[in-house]
Amino acid sequence: MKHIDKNTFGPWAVVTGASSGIGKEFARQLAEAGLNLVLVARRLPLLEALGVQLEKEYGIHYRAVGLDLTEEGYMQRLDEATHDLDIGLLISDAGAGGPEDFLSTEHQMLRRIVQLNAITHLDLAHHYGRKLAQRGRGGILLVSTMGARQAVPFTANLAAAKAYVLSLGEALHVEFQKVGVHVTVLLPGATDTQASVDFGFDQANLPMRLMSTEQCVSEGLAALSANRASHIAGRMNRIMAAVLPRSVVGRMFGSMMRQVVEKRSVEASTQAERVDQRHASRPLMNIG
Amino acid sequence: MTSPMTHIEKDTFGPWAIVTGASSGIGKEFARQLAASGLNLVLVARWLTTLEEVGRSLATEFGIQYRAVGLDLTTDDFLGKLEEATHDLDIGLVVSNAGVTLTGDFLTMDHQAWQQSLYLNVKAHLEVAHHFGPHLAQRRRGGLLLLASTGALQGIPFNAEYAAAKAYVLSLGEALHVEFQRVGVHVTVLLPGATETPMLAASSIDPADLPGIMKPMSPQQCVAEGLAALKANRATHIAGRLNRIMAASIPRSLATRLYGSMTARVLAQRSLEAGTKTDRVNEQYAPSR
Repeated sequence: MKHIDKNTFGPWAVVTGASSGIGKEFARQLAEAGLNLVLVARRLPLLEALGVQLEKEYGIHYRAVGLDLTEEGYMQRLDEATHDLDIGLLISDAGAGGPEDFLSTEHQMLRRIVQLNAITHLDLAHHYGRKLAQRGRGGILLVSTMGARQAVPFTANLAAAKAYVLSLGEALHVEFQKVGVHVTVLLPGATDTQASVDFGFDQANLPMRLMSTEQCVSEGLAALSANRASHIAGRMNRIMAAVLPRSVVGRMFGSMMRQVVEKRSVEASTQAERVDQRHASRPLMNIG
Repeated sequence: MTSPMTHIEKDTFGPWAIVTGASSGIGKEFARQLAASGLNLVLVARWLTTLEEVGRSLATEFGIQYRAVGLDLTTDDFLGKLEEATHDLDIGLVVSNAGVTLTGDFLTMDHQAWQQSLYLNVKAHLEVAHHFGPHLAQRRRGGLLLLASTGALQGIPFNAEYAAAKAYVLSLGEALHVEFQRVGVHVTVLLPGATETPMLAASSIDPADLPGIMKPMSPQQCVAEGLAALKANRATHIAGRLNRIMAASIPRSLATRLYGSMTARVLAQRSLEAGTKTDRVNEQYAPSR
């Protein structure tokens, strides 16, 4: 496990999406490296619990900030919670979504996906980027996904948002060099998190092992330390990315996502049938 | 010498087509070539007077019908207004072309600066595709053409938000290309390189600065290629053979650096002209307390 230099990237780091999965593991590894943490996510109780645990285990300080990054005014609230701190690192990890049929997806949901998975990264990179530039040292790590490198049918909008982040990070990586700030885009593949389950990645059904969050984050921090523009987590993933043409990878992911979408709509209608049967003698329930 | 043009089937892609950003540049040329194929046009842009002129001229020349819809696509309710203006029409093709370019040092730019870009270069494409998609799907024929850019292929320093937005559109369109196959609707993402339009003029890139192989293309050529790709239902199409060769042979990271240097020079040139220097990022963020 690589250690992050806390003089360069500390004393404080902001981690979004810190309540679970990759974000949570970032918090842990940064705490281990001696960085104090601003933990940001919607579920404040989880953040508090995590903060207390890391404080005890690693002797660091923490601030838990319960925020919905798709809500109006979130940036102001986050700034209020952090403006007195010397921030050296931003881990922009928050993101959410799953496979969906574009035409069947609700309009509002599409907008939320773009807001959460693309625009917040833009806003946060800008807000904290300015502070980091002032310091002349530090870093920004943006979490995208392997699917950002090509389109993913049946996850069209989300994958596009991730592509946005990849492109943005690549550009900022160059722009921020002159102010001494590292910028790295991390592209995980299928990782052992709840988010992966939301995507229908069930270890039982997969031919390859899901990557551990520990491995994923460790690689991410090493790449950030080395100021790599982008980094695909996992050697097998890197090999696949290098060897398979974009279109093939896209089609592969697309088929997987289509299967998940179809499976879920079958499950939903089977569920509806079962409910109908159970209540055959009663008035039909509103399933919606 | 006749200028390049592609004829498309009005039975498949008509009777009506929507073109956003139709008042100038590539959008205006799309309107012209679609009119030449006999499609009626809904022309969308901010400048209603210009749209009316474009529409009238095409109606006269090609005998098509048109509707000019003056709309600001950066407003939250543009879709409602667009729907109102088109709900009685049988739309067979949407050319989502409106866009804006944005060059600058990311850190010195204001949040407001990229609001327009986010709306035009990201949200408008998403909303238009989602809004008109079901109608096209129901017809089981027709098309959606999204304008990205060769800037979509890698990050571009000093054009960061613009390139990221184009990466979004490219990815979205490629995915929708597959999703819409089941319903018989063509989806194509067109990626122009430098094209002779007002947008290029506004970007301060001096065509004389571009290496010989990157000479700007005519909008006629660009649109002709785009419509040919749409007809053939190609998922994506980079306009211009040299652009295609460059995209295929130059690795992402190198392209990022090359474009970055070019754009940095543009910025430096602008600052010289404005009498300031661009190298003062740190000074600009001196603590105020």
